[in-house]
Amino acid sequence: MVDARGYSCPTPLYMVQKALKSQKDPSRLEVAVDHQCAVENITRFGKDNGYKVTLSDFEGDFKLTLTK
Amino acid sequence: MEKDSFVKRYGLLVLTGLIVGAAAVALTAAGNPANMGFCIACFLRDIAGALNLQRAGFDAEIGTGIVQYVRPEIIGLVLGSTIIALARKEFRPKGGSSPMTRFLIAIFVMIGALVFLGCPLRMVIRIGGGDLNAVVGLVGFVIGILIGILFLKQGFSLRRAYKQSMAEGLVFPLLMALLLVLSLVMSDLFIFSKSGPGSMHAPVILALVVALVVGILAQRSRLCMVGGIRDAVLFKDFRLISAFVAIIVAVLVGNLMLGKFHLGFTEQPIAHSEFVWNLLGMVLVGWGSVLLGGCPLRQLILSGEGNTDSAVTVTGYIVGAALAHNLGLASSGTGIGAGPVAIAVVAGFVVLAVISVANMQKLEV
Repeated sequence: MVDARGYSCPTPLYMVQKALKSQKDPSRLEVAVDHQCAVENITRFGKDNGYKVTLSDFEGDFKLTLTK
Repeated sequence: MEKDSFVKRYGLLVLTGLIVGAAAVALTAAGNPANMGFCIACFLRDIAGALNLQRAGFDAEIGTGIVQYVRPEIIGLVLGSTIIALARKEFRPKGGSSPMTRFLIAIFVMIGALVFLGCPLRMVIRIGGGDLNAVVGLVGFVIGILIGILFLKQGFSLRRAYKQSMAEGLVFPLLMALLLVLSLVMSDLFIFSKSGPGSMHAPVILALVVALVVGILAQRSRLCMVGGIRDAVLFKDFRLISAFVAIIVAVLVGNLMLGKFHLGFTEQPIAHSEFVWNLLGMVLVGWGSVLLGGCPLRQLILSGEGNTDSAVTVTGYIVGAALAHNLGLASSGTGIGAGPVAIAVVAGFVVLAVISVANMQKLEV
């Protein structure tokens, strides 16, 4: 899981893009963030790139799961 | 999964941009200085003046400087953000992401803005008023952002922030509220310019209400002048930049309607035509703001949401404004300041370069 908690925009989205490029299976990715702005940015990015994005709670912060 | 519709994607941002533009024109018509309906840099500078941290253009006969006033716009933006963030449970106090580095960057961002004579928002407002010097500034701003992006791509980050207490997150918004109350009931504590731009202002209640509305919209839409160009380049995401364009359109239309549109380089209100300095000043602003993660307006909004790193950044802007005026670095309508402007700007580039390189790290993904 990518832990982008504490990072301000645009770093969380940048970390997601980097992780998707570097991992073997780009069809699934989990990312933790701690502010609404990052949630919106990553959700939009996911939708634009054909992912299903689900939002869940993660230690009081947010976890986004991107799946294809 | 369905992609967002056009309206969902751009609607709120374009609306916010149009309202910010209209608000800038309206506040100018109501008394704010020309092409300065909303300028975060100028208004923070005026607050620095009201606190007597600077008294630029001090006239012994009049007894005040020319840029000293407690601008309700700044307070309204922060409190608007706080109100909506609390209401929507987005008020999340956090900080600790290199605060002292942010403070230092903010000082130089403010110096750059005062060499140019405006923050990115005023730059856009000036463009909408036909001030071509601001187009030169825009070129510098874009160059600065591109330099910043170069470092972002190399892993630049001021490291992560951590959760903080509600009390800590509320300190800055409460200070703003206190400043407002004191400026109304104990105005003798502050210095209000009796001449110059600082003496020109819209009625307090109007400025406050407009700023509250803009603060709410800016919090909801995440409006950011730097983010607009940054995201367009970095992610091919044109949402934030759509607001940028909307502000120009609204200001342009408003100025045309009021007969305040004057195209050209000369005789522009509170502006100068020293191209090199207009350009370099905004390179400093663009680069520094990418490192900070947002323009001065965005920092105000974030500080209202409990982001104490942004509150430190805003404090840095105020100190930077005081320094810029006290050291003769700030420009005026007649040209750049009489102080060591070149040294300060070059020093700014050196400081930003060192910070950019020193904070490159491998992001763990």
